[in-house]
Amino acid sequence: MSSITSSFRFALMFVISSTILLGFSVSDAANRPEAVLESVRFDHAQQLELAGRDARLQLLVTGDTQDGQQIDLSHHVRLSAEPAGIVEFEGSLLVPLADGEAVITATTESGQEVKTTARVTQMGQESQISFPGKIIPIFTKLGCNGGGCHGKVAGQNGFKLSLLGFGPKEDHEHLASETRGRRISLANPDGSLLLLKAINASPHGGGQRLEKDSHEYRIMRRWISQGMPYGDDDPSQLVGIEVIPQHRRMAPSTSQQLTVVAKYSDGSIEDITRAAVFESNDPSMASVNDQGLVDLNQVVGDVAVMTRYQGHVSVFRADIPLDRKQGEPRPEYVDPTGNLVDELVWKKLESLGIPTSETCDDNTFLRRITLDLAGRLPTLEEVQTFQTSQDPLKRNEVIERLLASEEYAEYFASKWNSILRNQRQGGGLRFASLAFHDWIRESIYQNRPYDQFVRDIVAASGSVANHPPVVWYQQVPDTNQRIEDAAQLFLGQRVQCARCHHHPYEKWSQADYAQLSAFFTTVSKKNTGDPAEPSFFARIGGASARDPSSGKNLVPAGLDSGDLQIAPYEDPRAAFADWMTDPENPFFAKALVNRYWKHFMGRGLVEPEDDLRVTNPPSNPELIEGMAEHFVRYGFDTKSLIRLIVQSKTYQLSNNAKPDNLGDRRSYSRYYPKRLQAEVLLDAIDRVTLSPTRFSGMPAGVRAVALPDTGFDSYFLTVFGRPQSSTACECERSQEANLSQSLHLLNSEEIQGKLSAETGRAALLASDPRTDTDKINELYMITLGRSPNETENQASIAYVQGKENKREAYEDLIWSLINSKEFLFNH
Amino acid sequence: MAQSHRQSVALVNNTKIFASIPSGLIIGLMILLAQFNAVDAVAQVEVTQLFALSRTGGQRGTAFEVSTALGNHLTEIDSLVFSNPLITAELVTSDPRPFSEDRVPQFGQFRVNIPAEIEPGRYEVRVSGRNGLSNPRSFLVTAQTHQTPASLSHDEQSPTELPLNTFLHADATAAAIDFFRVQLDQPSRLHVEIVAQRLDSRMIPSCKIVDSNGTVIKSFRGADGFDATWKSNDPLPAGQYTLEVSDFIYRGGVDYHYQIFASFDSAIPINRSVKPSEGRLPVAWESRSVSMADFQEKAIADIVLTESDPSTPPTDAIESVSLPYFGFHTFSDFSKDRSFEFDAQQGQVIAVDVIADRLGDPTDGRILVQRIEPQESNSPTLHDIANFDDSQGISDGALNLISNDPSGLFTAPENARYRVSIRDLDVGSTLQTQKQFVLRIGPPQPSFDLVAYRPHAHSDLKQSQPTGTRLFRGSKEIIRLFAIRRDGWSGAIRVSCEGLPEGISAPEITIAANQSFAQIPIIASDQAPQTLSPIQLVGRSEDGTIERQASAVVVQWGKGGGRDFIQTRQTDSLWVKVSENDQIPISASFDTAEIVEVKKGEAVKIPLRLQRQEGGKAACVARARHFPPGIKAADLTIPAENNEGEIEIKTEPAAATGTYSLWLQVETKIKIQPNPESVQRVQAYRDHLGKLLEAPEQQEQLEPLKAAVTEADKLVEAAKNASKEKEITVFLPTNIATLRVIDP
Repeated sequence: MSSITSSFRFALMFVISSTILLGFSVSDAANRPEAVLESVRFDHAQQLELAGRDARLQLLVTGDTQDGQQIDLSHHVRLSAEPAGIVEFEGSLLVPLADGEAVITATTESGQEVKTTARVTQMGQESQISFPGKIIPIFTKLGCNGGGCHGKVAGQNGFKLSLLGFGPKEDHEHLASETRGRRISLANPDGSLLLLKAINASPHGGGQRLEKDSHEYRIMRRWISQGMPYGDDDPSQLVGIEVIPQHRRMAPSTSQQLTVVAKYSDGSIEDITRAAVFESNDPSMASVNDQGLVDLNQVVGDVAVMTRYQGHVSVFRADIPLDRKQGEPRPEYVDPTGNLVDELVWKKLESLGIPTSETCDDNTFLRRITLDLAGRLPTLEEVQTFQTSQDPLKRNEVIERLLASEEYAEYFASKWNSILRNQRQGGGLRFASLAFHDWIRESIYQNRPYDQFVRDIVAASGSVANHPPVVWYQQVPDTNQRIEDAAQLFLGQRVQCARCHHHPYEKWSQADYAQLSAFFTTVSKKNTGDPAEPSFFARIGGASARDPSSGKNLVPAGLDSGDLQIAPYEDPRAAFADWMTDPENPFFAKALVNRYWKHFMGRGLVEPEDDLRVTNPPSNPELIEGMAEHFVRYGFDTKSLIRLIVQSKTYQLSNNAKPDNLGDRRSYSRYYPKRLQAEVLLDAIDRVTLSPTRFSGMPAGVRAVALPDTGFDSYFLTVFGRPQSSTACECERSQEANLSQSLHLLNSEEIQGKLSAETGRAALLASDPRTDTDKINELYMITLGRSPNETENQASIAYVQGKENKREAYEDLIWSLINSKEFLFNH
Repeated sequence: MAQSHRQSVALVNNTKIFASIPSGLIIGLMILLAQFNAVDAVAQVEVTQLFALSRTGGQRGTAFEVSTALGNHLTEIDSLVFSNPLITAELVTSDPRPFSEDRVPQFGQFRVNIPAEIEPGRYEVRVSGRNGLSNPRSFLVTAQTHQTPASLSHDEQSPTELPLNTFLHADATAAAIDFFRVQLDQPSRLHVEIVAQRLDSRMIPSCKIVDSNGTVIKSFRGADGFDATWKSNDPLPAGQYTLEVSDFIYRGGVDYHYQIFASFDSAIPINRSVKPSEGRLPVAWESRSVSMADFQEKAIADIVLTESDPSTPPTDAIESVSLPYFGFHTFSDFSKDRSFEFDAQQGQVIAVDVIADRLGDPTDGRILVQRIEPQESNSPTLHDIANFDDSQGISDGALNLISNDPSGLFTAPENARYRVSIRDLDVGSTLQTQKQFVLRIGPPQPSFDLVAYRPHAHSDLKQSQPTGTRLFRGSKEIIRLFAIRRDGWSGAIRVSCEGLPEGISAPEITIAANQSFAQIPIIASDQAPQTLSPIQLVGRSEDGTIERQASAVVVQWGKGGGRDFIQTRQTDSLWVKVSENDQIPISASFDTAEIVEVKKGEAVKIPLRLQRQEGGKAACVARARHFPPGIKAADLTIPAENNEGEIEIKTEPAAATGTYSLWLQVETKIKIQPNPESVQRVQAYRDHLGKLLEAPEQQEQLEPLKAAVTEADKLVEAAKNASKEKEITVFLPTNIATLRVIDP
């Protein structure tokens, strides 16, 4: 292969790739329309109260527009207070100065005014600062007790805090008892290492976390000067927090101030906005700063901001409709013809004013559905048959044919095999991993109802030979890992945090975790033959697990479910499976629906797909609910769910973006292209080059997607992101593009070898007596599932005919095609 | 029985010496030896190991050729020994050598004849030759025809034709699939059976049936101890079907042989018979664990597992039974119980047994016993009394006698009604959808069973391999015995070897009450004649009230090929072969004929003497092997210049009193010449030619004679090379010392 040939290849590739996938470029979004205010109001439910000198109150000023929208004006009004001296303002933050009442006035730029009253009390009292109530939240807000800092198990540089402050007693003990004299100086609070480090006056690995004149600094200083009290042993319990507002429709590139209120068991409330932690679920759509100010980017769709304080969470959701110019008509949406997916996607798009792209053409559909269902390119025969068919139902027929194929089972078995961590133990092929893979594949081929599929795994009992799902217990040997994997895989719940402390983003406590793990505490194994293939079963005994926080032994219970009394000779895992697969279970069906939705649509309704929590809401709650109901109603029939998705117009939309839906990445107004998975891409290249890859120990012709585990040595598969099957997370599979991938495709020995194989496609085409036009047309159909357009055709013919060495010419043409984005992506 | 076996062995010692050298065989054997010696991590006395024959069975009433295909130490294999003596084998011979009138035996190649009157079933075959008698391999006799295709297709476009009702012989190919085509002329229930595990093949058979549209009709596989069998519930449409067959983990070679059989609307041709008869193997043939064929023999002797349903269909209803009870049932589905209720009196001891795993079904039964307390208005209250899981948990690292079957005794705490619930903890259905069990509830039948096998002569049992028998004159072989006690019986067992032929002896040994296994040495005298004989081991309780014959077990495969355990199975019997051509260069024996007494917590020294001959002059290390708990002995080294030593046996204060049979394993190096007779034979032929060369009447054939001499010289050279003296490490057993541990 000459270097001249290679340079021609690049030129040719440009011709091919420049004609497709316009949707990858970026354009500006529409500008925000002018809003006409009808009224202005303070957005607080109660009278503003500030008790004590440490109180702070985030003001929230909202404008109601004539078209019924709400606009945040908190940072766009002029604030004033009468009489003076009672309160002052730090931006839109209200700060007490003296006991008394003050009238707060907010004035808009156009002169509209709104008033409210603030009352300040207890300014003269030197109230004791509570360590858990005031100091711990500061640590959390500043990140001091995070997992990457002093919250690590071993602490950081000798200073250890409980992770996220879930052990305040221990933290107080560390601070007050162990290091007095150096870390804390009662005589000279400002000389305390705790404060010196925080302001970086003493070298601090974490850098400066506080300003010396900040509110937080003053609180900590005063706490030290008070003698570092722990605080009231029986304070009012924090029962929850609430973010205000909870939901807004906002225009792109606008902002929204949030305020967070803590609610206590005695009925009192407290503004904790400055103490709460905020986090956006999609920073590319919206950012949020420490003060709770949400800034939207120039995107449309929906976004959520989670706020967290002392183990409690609350979520703000923003819908971001497309800003339309005055008089611009709203898009019309076609009749969804009863498809639930279309109905609910359309509903959201309509709400956001986002238009859909057109329906994709037949060639695109055939390629898309074949890749998504069978993990392979459509064959030449399939492309030709589909092109010529006039059957109006031909798309549904293709779906049915593929769903009935073994290739569908192989492809989805590969998906499950990986997240079920099925991998060989040792060098060569192993019976256990092959048996489990075979069982998964067969279950999918037989369309085993998903609830039974899951039950067979989590309640697996017996031998590897007769009941291969027990391999899951061998691959996941630790009880904690088992419950964490089961929760993540089948419930979309990441409970691992709750093993050591209260889940920071969820309501799950250590007790919840213990009760889940109790289901697995009677699992035992025994060796009967090959020690690599032990049998698993539930021994007779009472299932229970210790809650580290209370020290009590707890009986099994599902999440948000009551205690279960299970007879000692019954398998607790059967009860776990009963609870999980109960149609009323709020997690089970949704987790699978979201996982499969992402497989086909490229992005989950919840991202990551296995992290369904209240602080990470779905982009279309009705849709996930609706599909979950469908899934349950049809007996957990995965094929039925797949049909629901892929028969929808939503799935069959073109990836070609319109100006008004280019920015949509969460509402499915168009198809989002996705790079082919490593195994699918390798199989596709093998198919196109007619040079199949051999995998060690496997028969010839076995596709990469049909491999029984990920233990096969393949640089190609590694560099294109094949997972290692070491966790239950689909995130192990990388579908990102990188330079190594490009170099491998462009110039590796492996690819060059496939292109120039003696029995490869290029050699066959070179010796094929047909016209170049026919051969090139066929090559495009095999590779891209379509005929070349005129530009491509002319360029290709000219290139092939311009080269004396026809075999090299066809090698170059194939090389160009497999390096095109159209080939590399499912679009 | 033994006599008839001996008659069936076609020994060739009477053939003329020089005629017994096949052309090129020595060179071939040298290659073979070089190829497979690597299997032995430590060199051993060469004992024939048979891994595969070229053919694994045939139709009754036919004759066909069979040859050795894979093994170790397959020198001069001259006979096949079948478990049924009616099956015979004749050594194939070729034309005589130049200037000889005797046909040349083709060692390792036989013509086998299966008489028409033989019952179909699985039999065993062993090969016998210069290095002794091999381990057995299965040999399948059927009423149906057998074929061996010239080649197998790995191309799905041109599959191998598979005629219906015919056993097709094949070897799996590594990383390849064998494609077969079967034609159904009319809608039929297709029945496909891939026999491999039952043939002692390493193959785990896997099969996929695909119709002409490419739709997969069925995928099914076997496992260790299970073959791949499928029968369609509904008739399949007429047409062509492709069968894709491979080892499940894509291994291959001649030791991955299989037979594939397809028929329609017919019964499975290989019934499983519980009782071994006419040299056939018992039903419990699975290699994972060895079942007791005679366990509950009386009770289950009449049960023949066929396609027929058990006596009671699976039901969730509770069955009322009266004691003693014996029944044949089917397990309930996933995590459900089969329950049986009966009345019992306070103090009544009741045995409960479930037999399922031991019958070859993939099960893991568990028994729960509950007392039922009636309630006037509500459901009765159940009180847990006992639960039983796996029984006979005995293993030595090589032989695994663990059974998944539960059994146990309980004493009824009061006059009441009781419930026994049986659950299968192996909830899968990959290997079998309907699983059966035999249930016994009744008075205990205290007794024991014996299992005997010949361990591989190695210091590490985990290195066990299939091994045969080759008893040098003056040497010993160890047979290991396992005692499986049941229904609360806990006594000591005296074991003796009966019916031994001339020149072979074995002492009576004792399996103490606190032991589950012991060893018995089989000893060949210095003048023992050439002998080939099965041996019988009989165990008796000390009071003589119980007598049991040992079931025989063999190692079929060592670790390897992706399987990390030693595979064993039952065999018809253990054999012993004495080689009169071999004299052991060294042997070690305890120098005491009496029972040695020792008090608990004390030590005793027992002399150990070596009998050295030429080739046995090296130092020896004697090691205690498998001593019972609380009894220990440090290694004893006897230098090369000494012939005796004393081994000190220490007992701990906690050692149990009783009589123990102890043995040592002696590691040493010996020098032996592998096959000096072969040199003599070819040299005799060479001498014969030399004489002819000098004879005046042969002058007319001088050139052919010279050519024959040249070839004979090569044979002599090759034989000499193959027979060069070797120094090898061996592990030799001592005789038995009987130790009686008494209270101080």
